[in-house]
Amino acid sequence: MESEAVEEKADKVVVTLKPRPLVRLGRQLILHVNIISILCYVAGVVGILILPFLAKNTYISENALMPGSAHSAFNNFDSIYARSSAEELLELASQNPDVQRTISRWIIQEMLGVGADCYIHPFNSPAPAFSSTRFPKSSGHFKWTTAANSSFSEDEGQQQTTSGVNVVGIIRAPQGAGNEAVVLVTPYDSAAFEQESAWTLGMGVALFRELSQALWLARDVVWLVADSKYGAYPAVDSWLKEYHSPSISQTSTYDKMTLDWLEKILSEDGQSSKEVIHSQTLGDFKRAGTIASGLVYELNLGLRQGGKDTFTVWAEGPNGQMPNLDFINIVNSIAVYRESLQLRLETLHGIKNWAWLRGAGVSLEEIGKYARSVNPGWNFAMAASVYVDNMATLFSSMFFQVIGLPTGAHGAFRDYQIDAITLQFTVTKNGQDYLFSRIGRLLEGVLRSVNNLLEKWHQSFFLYFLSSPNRYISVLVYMIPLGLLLLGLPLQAAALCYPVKQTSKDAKDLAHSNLTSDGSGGWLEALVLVGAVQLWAFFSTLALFLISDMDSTAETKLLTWSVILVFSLMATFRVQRALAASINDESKGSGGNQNWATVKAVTIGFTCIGLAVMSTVNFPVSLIGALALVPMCIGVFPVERSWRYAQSQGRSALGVAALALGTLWTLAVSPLGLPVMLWSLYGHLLDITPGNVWNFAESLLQWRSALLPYLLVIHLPCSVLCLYILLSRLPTQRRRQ
Amino acid sequence: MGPVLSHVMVLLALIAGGHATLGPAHTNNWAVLVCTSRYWFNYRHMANTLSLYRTVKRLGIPDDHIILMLADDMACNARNKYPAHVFNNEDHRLNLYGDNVEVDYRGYEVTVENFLRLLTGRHDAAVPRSKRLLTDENSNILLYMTGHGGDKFLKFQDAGDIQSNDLADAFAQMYEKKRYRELLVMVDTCQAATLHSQLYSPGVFAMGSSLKGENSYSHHLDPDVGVTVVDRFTYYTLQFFENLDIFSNTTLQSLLRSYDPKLLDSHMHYRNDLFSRPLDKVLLTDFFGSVMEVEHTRTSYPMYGDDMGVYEPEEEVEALKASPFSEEEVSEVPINPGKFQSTSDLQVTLGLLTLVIIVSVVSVTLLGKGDIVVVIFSSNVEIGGGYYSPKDENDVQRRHKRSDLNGPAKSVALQEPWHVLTNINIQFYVVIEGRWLTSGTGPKAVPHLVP
Repeated sequence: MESEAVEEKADKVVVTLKPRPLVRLGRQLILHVNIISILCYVAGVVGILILPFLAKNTYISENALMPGSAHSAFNNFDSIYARSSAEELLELASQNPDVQRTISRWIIQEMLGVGADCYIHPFNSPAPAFSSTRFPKSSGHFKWTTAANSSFSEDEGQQQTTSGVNVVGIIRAPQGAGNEAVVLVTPYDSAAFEQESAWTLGMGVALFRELSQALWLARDVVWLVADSKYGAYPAVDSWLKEYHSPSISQTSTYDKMTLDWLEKILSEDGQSSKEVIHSQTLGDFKRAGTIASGLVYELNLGLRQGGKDTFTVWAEGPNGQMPNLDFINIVNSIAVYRESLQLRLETLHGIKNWAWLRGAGVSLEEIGKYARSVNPGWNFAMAASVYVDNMATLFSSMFFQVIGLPTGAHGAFRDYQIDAITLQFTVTKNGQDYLFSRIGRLLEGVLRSVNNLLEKWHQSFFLYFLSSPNRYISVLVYMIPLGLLLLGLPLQAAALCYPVKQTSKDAKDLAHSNLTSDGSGGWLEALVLVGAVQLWAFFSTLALFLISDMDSTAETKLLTWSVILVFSLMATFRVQRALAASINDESKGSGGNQNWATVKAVTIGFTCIGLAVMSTVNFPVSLIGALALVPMCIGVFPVERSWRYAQSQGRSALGVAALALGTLWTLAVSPLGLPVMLWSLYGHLLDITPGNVWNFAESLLQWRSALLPYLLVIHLPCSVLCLYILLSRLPTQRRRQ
Repeated sequence: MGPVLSHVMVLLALIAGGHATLGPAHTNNWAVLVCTSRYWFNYRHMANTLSLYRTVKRLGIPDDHIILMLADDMACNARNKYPAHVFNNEDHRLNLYGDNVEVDYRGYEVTVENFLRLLTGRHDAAVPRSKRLLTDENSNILLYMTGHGGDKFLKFQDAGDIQSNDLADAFAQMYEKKRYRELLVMVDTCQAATLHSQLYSPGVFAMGSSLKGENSYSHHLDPDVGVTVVDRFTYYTLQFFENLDIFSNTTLQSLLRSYDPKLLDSHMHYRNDLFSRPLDKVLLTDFFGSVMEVEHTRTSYPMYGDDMGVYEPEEEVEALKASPFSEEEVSEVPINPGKFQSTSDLQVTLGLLTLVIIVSVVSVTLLGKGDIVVVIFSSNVEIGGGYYSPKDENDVQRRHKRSDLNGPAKSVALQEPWHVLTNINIQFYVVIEGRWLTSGTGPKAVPHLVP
């Protein structure tokens, strides 16, 4: 018995001597950190590429919606009415020079005719940067035109008083409580009133007339005829602003403006118009309770695709905020199963032609086929063309989210936490009546389904990507690639802090020596350096903000900003050196360069935190940032060290290649290399000039896009620090000198 | 002497109760109809419950013996295209919310607590009598529940749920407190059979629409209202009941046999291990209706003596049992000659006959042109909705089809003898030169007899 006890004791002693499993695991991770971080990165990239395979079929999560369960009352008479209204509007617009007034008067008469509450909402011209709203729609290309800006300023000079005028009609729900509303938005271009606008308004009138007779409304229906002279977004945005937070100080002037304008547009029959204005209180801004959902729709000229009538759904709001997935699901289910309309998601041109994407599709198809031949249960094969389509949709959606600008007027609703989408119907030139009635039935069906909803949209996903109209990738899935991409960073930082050699004793000594020899001084210096560069980055953002208010051309602004950036960076380094010198005087007295490893560790830490935080603000920005920054952070080494390694005896081809790749990557994504790379790759697609770059940056600022903070607060300091590491000199060499 | 006495007692009990069982007599019927789910998309649960309400009311359970619990008000929902209407069929022939619906517990009052309080009778003193289940040991109770359920629970509103053991314990309390004689539980939810799996109180018969792991499905969608309006189990139950009236001899057994798993999309399950009577001896009207046998005894009215002419309803009742059809339908049907009901009827008729003969003879002699005189006299006895004898088997089939679930069948609730009118209608036809002259006595139209 005793002997056994002794043995047990001895065992315990041995166990306590051994390091704990977690420590051992950590040591193993750090030992193989390079392989692990490369594997993680590769796995992350592969994870992004196989996202279409991980997509699930969409389903309607909210029971209350019941899409398509009710017959639509919108019939052929209504579609004929829509068409005749459009023709009437076109004729009116061609006869009268002042299109805005003519159309508004006509719509007011229609609204009053069906017994709806009606009023007009004039709004002032928006800030110049708003004109860049249209860039995503401009034939699908990534193009921001300065032409819109310049033409706008000319306009401003000519007619100071010009402003947009929204006409709003409200159908009160016959049995509803009147505390909730659904907003229908039909944008029309009063500056260039053409077939498309006429169709949109004609459909709007027909639908409004139909809805005014509906007994099933539980929510008021607000029809906002948005004057999209400056784009649909500013019109809707200013109306929503007025709806939610009326500007009390400006009330009297606003009212006067409204009344003046009303008298102008209804001036034809003199006295009677005044009576109409006062009896119908056309000047009063009327409300209809909490806005539950918004539905923007427009009819566009186009061709049928693949023998099917199609329409496009735009959903991306500011900074990639998406409406509830159920909203898109009900539109899709009603469109496909009842109206046989094909829902499309917009894809950028060119993505489908990317050779590497096609290659990936073909190889994944082969892998899928092979897997199925091995085990029939593994049935995940996907045709290469389908894969490319899905990836194109996914990348396009990510692109729109990266830019951070809403893709249409629905984005204005998102600012008030209202779920909204834009539907763009494609109508052929003749505009068949059957298509009109289908569109009308679809819109009525969606509205009825939304009307069935009892609460806010809450059941389904808000964080998702659509890879096709009926397949989605939820946040649970798409966060995994990002996590894999970022996983290498903390491991690398840990490896740099605690270098571990093969034997545990050595490791302990080394870690100790590292800490003791550099002392707190090395860490402090590194922190000061990284902190100073971060502060500089914040300052550069501030400078951008301040310079954007300057009254000069875009090129001058860009130049000014660059000069300020360079000088302030030089000043930053000077200050940092002085600080570092004082720290060294206090601690050791040996001034000079920091240990590059500590700087790298701190840089990696900051970048990792920055990217992780950014993923909650705008996921695709974070994803693209991780793709760009992780190889740079991991692969950056001082050129001297790399050179020495390449010269040394124990070099390996793989190591040299990795170092070369790291150096090249660092140079490529640096503030100097990135523009050059972008220009060389996409110069033929994009009109990259200094002026455009500045305008783009300014519009990002105006739209509060997360891309700008990412570029200036995460990317810029990280790449500057990596360049610093790349060019830093090794301490041993300094000693030799 | 002992055995003889006990036999006499049994005989007395049989006479008193009218049933071939021992124990407390069945004197009254109660129905507790519960819809536990709210919101517009659960329209069908409200419609289910209201349909059952209408059925049991039609079969004679008065409103004060029905406790109706509706978790939401569909009739006044803003989404309802037909305000104040609730339909259980897309043909919209029957408005379940039409006349005189008495909802006892509504909206957020429908909770597990209130439900259990109702069953066990443990109410706050302030709760009015109309919200109480005032049953005794002579009461047969029908408990119908519909809503969203799962394995051994039924969801109440979106807030809580009742577990099957709670329900079983509530029944046990009711049994202890002699609050029922027999209890029929009918549940239309998903996995309904699990809800009655834990019952243990005697006298309970339980049936559910689906087995464990099965869903109960809705029957059809009404695209006009925009929701599904009735559940399958309830739909077919109602279809079965629609052809029954209070005098029906249909048994529970035939109801249970009527459920077709193919139509229900689920398997109806019932438990009769706690129930003492054989199912083919249990009349459906023991639970779903209220058949009051009113016996008028001469001793109750001693001052009128023998001349009172107490009405004996047996014959008429027998006649009615052959008539499962509604009043409107019957009124279209040619009425067959009946028999004279009493001697006074005969006297009157004979007098009239004499008069008719005199009149016809006089008219013929005065006119002097009559060739043939045909005198047809008929008398018929119309009781309640009347009756008819079918021409053939096809006729019966046709009428059965017509009086389906939503037929405008108005109740022929005959509980008091003064609802039975004797109506003698004599028609005579004189044919003079090919022209028909017609005359008669008595009202032509059938009076409305429904109270």
